[in-house]
Amino acid sequence: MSNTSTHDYLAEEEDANYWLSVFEKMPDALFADSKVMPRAFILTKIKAFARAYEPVVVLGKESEVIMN
Amino acid sequence: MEKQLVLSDEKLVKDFVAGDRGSIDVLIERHKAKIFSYIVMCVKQQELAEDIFQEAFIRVIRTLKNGRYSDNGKFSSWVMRIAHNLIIDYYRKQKNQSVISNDNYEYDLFNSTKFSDKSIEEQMVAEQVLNEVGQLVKLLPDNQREVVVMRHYRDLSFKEIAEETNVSINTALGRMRYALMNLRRLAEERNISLTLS
Repeated sequence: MSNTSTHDYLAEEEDANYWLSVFEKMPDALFADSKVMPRAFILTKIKAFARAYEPVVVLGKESEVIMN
Repeated sequence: MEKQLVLSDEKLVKDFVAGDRGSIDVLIERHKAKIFSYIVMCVKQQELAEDIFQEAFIRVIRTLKNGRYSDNGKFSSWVMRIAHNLIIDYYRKQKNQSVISNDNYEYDLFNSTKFSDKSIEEQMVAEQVLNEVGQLVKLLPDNQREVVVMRHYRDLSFKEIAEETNVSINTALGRMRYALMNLRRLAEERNISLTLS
């Protein structure tokens, strides 16, 4: 059975490239009152990761630890 | 925190790298709307956008903490590029998996009873039909029963059946044809329905 997909991923990649170029030109201030937001628990998780993450070097190799 | 709100992105990045963990909070709050809006615009699904947003910031934190960040542009543009790469990775992964999504269609092609597990009743009917077929097969002449058993119970090809029974392939095919005709006749005579749902 051959793999076929009806979804046009190439077009989506082109869309993503287009929107990136558009968003990069938009001033940050435009989004000050935006209602499109990640949910609060996502932000909490990221902030917690930032506090817990610590890179370390073990036997000359880069490693990392997550502190609880 | 209030004092940090007026600091530039560059200063906040430097402070975070230097160990002020609260600086990243300000950067996240300052840029979350723009970066998340870009991701949503591309992937059009809240939860997927949140996964990509989270992964992008985790990469940001790792890069900053490992001292690999080179300050050569806007912080938000840098994070958006990381998110962009994750979006492209997601598209390519989906493409390679050849997943066909029904999300954009009102009718779900795969939400059909044809693809669902059989109910207990259907399983019992199927079991009964197979049992009755087995009884009918026993009534066939020896040479026809032999071909049916080899083909449907032992899954042999007609070439293999011909070799095992020392007949030509055409003879084996002919025996199978007569066996099926006889099975239909026997089923009709006994009022047995052999239809599986």
